[in-house]
Amino acid sequence: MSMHIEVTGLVKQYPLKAGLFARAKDRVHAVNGVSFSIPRGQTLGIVGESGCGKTTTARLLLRVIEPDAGVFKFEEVENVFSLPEEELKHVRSRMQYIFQDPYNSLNPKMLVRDIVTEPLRYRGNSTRRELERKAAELLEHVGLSPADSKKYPHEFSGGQRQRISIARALSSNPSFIVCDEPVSSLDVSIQSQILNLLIDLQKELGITYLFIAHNLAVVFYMSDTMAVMYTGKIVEMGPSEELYRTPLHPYTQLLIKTLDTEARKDPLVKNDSGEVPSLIHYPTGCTFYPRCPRRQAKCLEAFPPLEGEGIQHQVACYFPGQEQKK
Amino acid sequence: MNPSILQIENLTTEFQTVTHRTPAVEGLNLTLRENEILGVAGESGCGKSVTILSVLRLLPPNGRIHRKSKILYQGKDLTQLAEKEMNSLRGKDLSIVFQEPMGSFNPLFPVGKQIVEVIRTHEPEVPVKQALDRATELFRQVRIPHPELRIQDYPFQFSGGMLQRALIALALACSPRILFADEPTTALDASTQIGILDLLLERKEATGMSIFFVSHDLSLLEGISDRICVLYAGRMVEACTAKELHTHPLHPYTQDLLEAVPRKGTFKKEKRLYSIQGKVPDPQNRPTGCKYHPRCTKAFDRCRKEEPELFGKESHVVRCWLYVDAH
Repeated sequence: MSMHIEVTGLVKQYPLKAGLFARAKDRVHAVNGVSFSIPRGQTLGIVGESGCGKTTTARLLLRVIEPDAGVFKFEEVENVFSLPEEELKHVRSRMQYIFQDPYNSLNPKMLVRDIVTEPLRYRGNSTRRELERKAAELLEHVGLSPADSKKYPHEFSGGQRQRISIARALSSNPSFIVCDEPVSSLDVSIQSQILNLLIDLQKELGITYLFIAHNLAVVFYMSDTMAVMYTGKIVEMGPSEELYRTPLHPYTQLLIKTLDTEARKDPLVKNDSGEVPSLIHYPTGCTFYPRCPRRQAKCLEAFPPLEGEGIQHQVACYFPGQEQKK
Repeated sequence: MNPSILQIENLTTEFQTVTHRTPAVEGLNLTLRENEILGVAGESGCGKSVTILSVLRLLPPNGRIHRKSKILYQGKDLTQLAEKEMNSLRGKDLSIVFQEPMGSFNPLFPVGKQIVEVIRTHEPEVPVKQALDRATELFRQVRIPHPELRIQDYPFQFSGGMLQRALIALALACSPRILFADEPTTALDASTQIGILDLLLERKEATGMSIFFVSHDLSLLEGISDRICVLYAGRMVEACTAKELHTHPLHPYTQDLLEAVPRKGTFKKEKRLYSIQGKVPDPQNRPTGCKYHPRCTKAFDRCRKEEPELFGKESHVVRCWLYVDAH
């Protein structure tokens, strides 16, 4: 299968400075060598606890922040990370971002019409009439009415605002959209409207999604492939159904157990300390070691490599597999 | 069935704005029993948090409890108590765990000191040293590693999950009879969330307290509650045991909510999620009749005109005209 998106060895570190002119002594290791690929028209879901590098990864891809290392092959572009700013503009129109908070991501002083067509105006070469027609079209596409184009964001509810965000993302005909917690700030009864809309748009337009959410059940539901991140690394990746049924990494196993509230009686869950190692003094061995029920001396030597091919089931663990039956 | 410890009768709480009077909760009747976890479910704006704030009398200045409302605790009507009496109950008999642990502690004082403050406020005869020992013991009970060291740490030195544990320790400091938990795990990661739930259950068993647990997540409530009450637009629409709510939900709203959320082990190619149409009604402009009728697929004429009361037997009540015959 040909890949629409291929990311290799993505790294981002933030230097920690003590003073204005001081040299960086330490670094926060935010993303540490992340590689993945997504076939066209499919969804890769990323799960992991806060601070594990999910959002940083997404922002690096769109070059909202610049990576320290890595290669990002996107469609015919060999490496998006090495493009000069001028060329990046053209590539960026094919990549869009849907933010978590529809209250802060829409400019309250702009008409909806101007919000959804802003990406087009930025690129120029559209007349006013074309833009107006396009705005009406986009709004209809996401289930709003063309008459809404002359309103302001505050006149809409959370779910409708998220639809406006989606319309804006669609305006430049992107082939890749990053959805960063698109439903977390919405009411439970509204979430499914947005999830269904995203699925329908993907089927219709063949868009590739990178889907980030902290709600595990939602990510499982939305994704074709899933990546589990821990301390800036992918520890397990594979088709979401397979990952759900036969998780191999102890962290994934722990996460899946938490889907079931009855699992709180399970000693694995009960005794989990939940302590994440420091991202500044990054340990040499496996970062999950302090919490791992299967840890052995070998795990302290080096971080286990992510083994497996392509989009097949891969796991970064020296002792992967089913947990022992008690 | 355990005897009741808190009875909310006909609670109506309104907020006065310049031009409007907005009802947040309307005519709510609820009973919390001893040593029980009552799950209160609902979306934003349905009145979950306002109910807790009304009971604890922590409403903002423009919030007002209707004078016909009663909140009975140990034979006393909390709405009638003087502020001083209320102060002696808050933090002692009735305590609360908020959603955001970072915002619940004072960042300028060590966590242990803040727990000592609560203990000494309610029991001034306890010496500081002894109060500190008690705080350390509480830290141990909520399973914070190295309690004797962590007790001296400031809030920023804790991770989110650990600080939420510390907040629970603070809430438990004076052995409350009722713990109000307002979305205590929503801000936490999945793996730490379950640990906090387990901790609450264990403390409930150990101390015999009751927990009033508010959350928007029905599946989470199913796992820990004895009974669940579903709120919509400021009123109760359904209440029954946690198990029954998931096996036989009666109200169309409850049924729709359960269908609209991806459950574990469902994938998009297998099943399309049910989409509830429309949005939660604006509290200033709630529809006539049943408040859910504009979004309900089973609504008929009567639903638009008259608001149903709670029908059904005591163990399972539902506010829907479909069940008028069962009454």
